[in-house]
Parts: sequence; structure tokens; C-alpha cells
Amino acid sequence: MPLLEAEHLSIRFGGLKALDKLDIQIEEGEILGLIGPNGAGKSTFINVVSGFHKPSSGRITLNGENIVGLRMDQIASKGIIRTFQVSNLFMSSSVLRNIQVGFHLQSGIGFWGSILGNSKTRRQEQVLHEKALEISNLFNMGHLSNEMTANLPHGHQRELGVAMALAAEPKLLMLDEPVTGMIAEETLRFMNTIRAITKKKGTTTLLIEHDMKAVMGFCDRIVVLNFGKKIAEGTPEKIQKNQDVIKAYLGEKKDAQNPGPAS
Amino acid sequence: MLKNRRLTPNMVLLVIAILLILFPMLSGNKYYLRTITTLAIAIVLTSGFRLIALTGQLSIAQAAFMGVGAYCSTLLIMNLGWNSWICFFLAGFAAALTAGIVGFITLRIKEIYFAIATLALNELFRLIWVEWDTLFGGPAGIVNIPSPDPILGIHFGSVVSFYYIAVLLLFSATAMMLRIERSRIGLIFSSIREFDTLAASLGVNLIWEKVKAFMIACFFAGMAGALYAHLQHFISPVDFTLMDSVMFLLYGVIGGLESVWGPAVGCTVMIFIPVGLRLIPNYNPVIEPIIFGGILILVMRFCPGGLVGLFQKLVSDLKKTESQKGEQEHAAA
Ligand SMILES: Nc1ncnc2c1ncn2[C@@H]1O[C@H](COP(=O)(O)OP(=O)(O)OP(=O)(O)O)[C@@H](O)[C@H]1O
Ligand SMILES: [Mg+2]
Repeated sequence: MPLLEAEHLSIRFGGLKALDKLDIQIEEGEILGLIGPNGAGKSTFINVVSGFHKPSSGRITLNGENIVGLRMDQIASKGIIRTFQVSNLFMSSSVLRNIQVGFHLQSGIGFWGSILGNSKTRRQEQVLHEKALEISNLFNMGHLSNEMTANLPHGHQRELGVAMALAAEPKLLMLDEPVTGMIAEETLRFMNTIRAITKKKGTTTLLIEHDMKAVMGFCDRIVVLNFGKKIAEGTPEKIQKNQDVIKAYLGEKKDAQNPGPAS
Repeated sequence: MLKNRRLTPNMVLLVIAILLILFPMLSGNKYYLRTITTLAIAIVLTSGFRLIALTGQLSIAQAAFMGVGAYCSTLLIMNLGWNSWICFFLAGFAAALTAGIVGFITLRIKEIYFAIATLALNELFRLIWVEWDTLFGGPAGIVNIPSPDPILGIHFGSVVSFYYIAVLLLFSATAMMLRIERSRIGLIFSSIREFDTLAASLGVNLIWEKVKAFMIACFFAGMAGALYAHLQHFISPVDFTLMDSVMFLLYGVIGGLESVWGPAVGCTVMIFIPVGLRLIPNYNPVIEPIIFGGILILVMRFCPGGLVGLFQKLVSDLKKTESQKGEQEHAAA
């Protein structure tokens, strides 16, 4: 049984079918790439799975259990954590505080524990603090942990978004264009870190990315969307040769989004 | 060396706390004791308003929740003869419970609608107290509310004893606010205000967290109401009006909602300004709303972080120039 299964998933925005009877299966432990031209419905898929949008029709199941109709936080508490394509941080808080919010589902500190601030709570808080430092170190931000997020360079901001999501210890991590605006070396380092962490923890990952090098190099399997429909699915090698995919992308004029070794 | 001698915020607090405890021994002035009692109640209410604001919501019904506590405790004491100290806590619970029910209904809606809903709620409560006169005494209110029951032979009823109860309530509310501020509870509250969708995506139950803040705030508002009833020996619907709720908002904004100390600063300044003005001969209090309005406009225009925000900015500017001076000296040497 796949970890997550979307069946006949559709959503309309007015007259626009952003997702059109989409079937996607995500297997436990894999890194699944989700690609497609601008406006294909990739972000919408994450938005629907995470409960941000309600689908017009179709089913989504996690381990066979329906999750359509749940609130965002309920879906998050089932282990599905997503990042946002744009503005994905608490900009006026420090790096550490951002990561600390990511611990919300894991903290184990209850209301009265927080109020009383007893020794048990203090120990738990200490552990979380160390874990937060550890996570910020993973992304080479240890020295920036008390910096206000808005002051971080762009690359670190993208990384922090993912760091927060990882702090929530997801079963299924959905990343919406995490490396946008990063230079090639940054991208490589960042993607390697993500892959190392998710593979080590067995986190299933859905990766939306326009950077073809990142997608092809890091995903186990790829699903291609166009106009809300799935037009191809398979290993990176297969996708690169797929005529429909090439056509879909060439229909788009932006060169940067061409599949292939460039970009 | 210099650093060790510098005043830390905690030391300032300690000094203020000790002064508050010693004040009745230093001065027998009943007028000031009563003013500080009122001030303590106002700070408790405004701190609650700020706590709710921390989750991005504006509640313009805090006076009504104070009233819920006041009526609850008064009716239980006078009709059922319950111990006033138990009723003191029950007043808090009643207000918190009311807030919980109201919150689950109204906190689903967007921020501005919640503010409007609470505004309407304050009026609704007033109407209930006015119209249901068999229970709440109507516009005339309830008179002859007794002083709190004695504990271990200690009698409460003097101005000084009310002062100490109010200061105790202020200390406990402040301690609670500080713990919230410095723990994960406050972290999660402010994450909601900063970016609710992101917080929800990390598993934060937005409605429940907002309701939680609302309930804690109203718990203390209810207790303050019970104290107020004993203090005045008389309550009526005009004690808990929309205008009073707006005043708590005003105190909070003027003191600064960012800081946990904002409400205390805002209330102190705004309650002592009239006290000071009344020392002026031939002073007519009718112009007070104009003065308050003027101060509000000035604060909102020139220091959106309130008076505490202004103070913090001045301190950080001072530190900057100091460290620059230090660097220059260093470079010169
Ligand atoms: N909330 C919304 N209301 C109306 N239309 C929307 C909404 N969200 C998305 N859309 C539309 O749905 C379509 C799919 O959008 P989506 O953001 O999923 O594309 P995408 O594949 O993520 O594109 P990109 O690569 O540019 O991020 C687009 O035509 C978009 O305009
Ligand atoms: Mg997108």
C-alpha cells in the first residue's frame, strides 16, 4: 500500500481546473519529484493534500485512511508537513524561534509544564534547544541562530523553511521549490543535505522543483503534470526521454524550465 | 565591572514589587491606595487584552468578562452564601468558560470580525444584566455586597486589605503572563499572529490556541471582577461597558502591545495622568477624553510600539552610540 494515495483528485478555481482527476501514489521512503510547466497545478496538489484547499472531488488517503476534510493542523499532526513556495517563514522572529515552532507537534511539553516551568520542563526545553541548534548546524546556520530571519541571505531563508519542516519530523515531507533562487553550488549542497536527512530517517519526500538538475539527480521517481493532469510518470531517465514531457515543456517559452542537462 | 552594577529588568521588577508591598506602611494615604488598587485591576485586564492580541485578535469585551466574574461571585455569595474566596476562583472559571464557548464560535472568523463580535458581545452582556432584573438587579445593580470572608481570623474590608488582594492578583497574573511569554505557549501564540497559515502547517491548532489565550485572559478578568465587586460593595451594568473595554485597548496600545510590560506602563501612565491633572487648581475633568485621545494619536503616530517600544528604541540607540564610542577609543588606543 502506498503511503499517500490521491485518487481522481480535482479542484476548480472558478472555471479553471487546477487539478483534473489526478491519480498520484507516493510510496513509503521514496523521493518523488513533481514537475511541470508554470501553472500545471503542482503547488495546488500540495495545497490540497495539506488541507489548505478542499478538493472539489476525489480521495486522498494516508496509509489507507481518508484525510480529505481535515484541518491543516490535523493533517500536519498525521505527519504530512509541507513548505511554501513563497513567504514561508516567521520573518520577524529569530532563526531558533522559527525552528522551535517546527517542534510544536514533537515538543511533549504541555500547558501546565510550560506554566510551572518545573525541572522536567526545563530539561525538555534544553533538549529542544540543543535539537534546534543541531538542525541549524545541519544547514550551516549555527552562527546565525539568534539572527532575525528577515536579515538572512536568501539561500539561508530557503533552507530555514525546510529546516522548520524537518523539525516537525514528518512522515511525508512536501517541498515546494526549495532551491528557487539559489546558485548551483548552494543547490547541490542543500539537496544533498535534504537527501541525506530524509534517507537516514526514512522520510518520504515529495519534491516540486523547476531546477531539472536537482530533480533528475535526487528523485527516485518523477510525476509530470500539465494543466492539472498527469502526463507522465517514471524514473528520471525515462522522463527525460518522454516525448509528451518534452512537448509540454517546449510549449512553454521560458528556456530556464527546459528539461535537460542545462539550467 | 560596570556591567555587574547595571540595573537588570529583573532587579527593577523586584524593586517595584517590594515598593508595592511596603507602600501601605510608608503612606497611609487612602486615595493613593485606592488608585493603585484600581490600577492593579486595570493592569490585569489590559494584560489579558494583550495576551489575546498576541494571537492576533482584538477583544473589545474584556470589561464584560470582568462583569461576568463580578456578577457570578456576587450572586453566589449573596444568594447561596458561598465562601467568597471560593467564589473568587469560580468567578475566574465562569468568565473563562464563557470565553471558551464564545471563542469556539467566534474565533473561527477572521480577525476584524472577531473584534466586532466581541464589541457586540459586550453590549449583549450589558443588555442581559439590564433586562434580566430579577437575577441581576437591572440598571440599579446589586448593592450591599459584603467584604470577603475572613481567613484565619484576618478580616478583609479595609482599603489596605483590598490593596493587598489587588497586588496579589496583579503579581499572579503578571507571573502567569511572564511564564507564557517565556515558554512555548507564547511562542506558539505569536507564531499565529505572525503567520497563521505557516503555524497551522506545522500542526498548530489555530482555533484552540486562540481560544486558550482568550480563556486565560478572561479567567483573570473574571477574578478582577470579583475583587472589584467587593471593593465597591456595589455593581451595576454601567461598571462593565463597552467604553471600559475600549479603555483597556487604549491602555494596551499606549503602553505597547509588543512587550509584556506594555500594559503596566500604559495603565500607570494613563491612570496617573488624571491624578496629576487634578492637582491643578480649577481643573475640569471634562477635557480628559480629549487629552487621552491626543496621547493615543501621538503614540500611534510617533511610537507604534507604544511607550515601552519607545523606551527600548532609546536604550538600543544609546547602546549603539556607546559601543561606537568604545570602538573609536579602541581605535585611538
Ligand atoms: N487560490 C487560487 N485561486 C485561483 N486560482 C488559483 C489558486 N491557486 C492556484 N490557482 C491557479 O491554478 C493553476 C495552478 O497553479 P499552481 O500554483 O498549482 O501551479 P504550479 O504548478 O505550482 O506553478 P508554478 O510552477 O508557477 O509554481 C494556475 O493557473 C493558478 O493560477
Ligand atoms: Mg507552484
